Amino acid sequence: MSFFGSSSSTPSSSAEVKAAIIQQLQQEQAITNARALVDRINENCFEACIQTPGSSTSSAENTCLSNCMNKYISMWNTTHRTYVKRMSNEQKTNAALAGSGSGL
Amino acid sequence: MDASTQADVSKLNDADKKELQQVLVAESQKANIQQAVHNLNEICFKKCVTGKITSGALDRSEETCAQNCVERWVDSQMSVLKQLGSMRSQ
Repeated sequence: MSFFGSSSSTPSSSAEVKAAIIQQLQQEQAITNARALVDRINENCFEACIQTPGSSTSSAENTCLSNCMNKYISMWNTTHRTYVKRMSNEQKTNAALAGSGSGL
Repeated sequence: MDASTQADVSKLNDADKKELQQVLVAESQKANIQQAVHNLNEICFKKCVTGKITSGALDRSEETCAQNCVERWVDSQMSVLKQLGSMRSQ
């Protein structure tokens, strides 16, 4: 029944090996992406919210950081949506110019 | 999270190998897009969020600015590539 196999046993069949590799790949990719996002948020929101570093983080600074983080993520989603849409349009245009009807 | 689990690649049959290659290409494309969006979002955040941050939501003008920022950035990239292309053919 267990297609993915349990994490404690080593994958034995071809399907299990494949599933294990895909799972690890996607997990590592998700971690890399999350880490990149956290780094950028910290970099940009520190810049935007901590004008003069004091002896402690004020509550106003904390509020700003929290707002900034939400704003940054919302904007990330907008940027992603717009970028993917534009790129797929460019690809369609190129495909039309090349006279081939192949999609993605 | 167990990275120590060793997947024995020799156990893969040809069909699974082929499928895995396709998954790898797709995941690699996804990673490239995410990386590009990280860079682009940082540039556009700096350009579009200039005032004091008082709300966590993206307001209408910031949203429009972000969309325009991405479109103009791609325009700019295309223009540079076009120029380079014409330089090469000279």
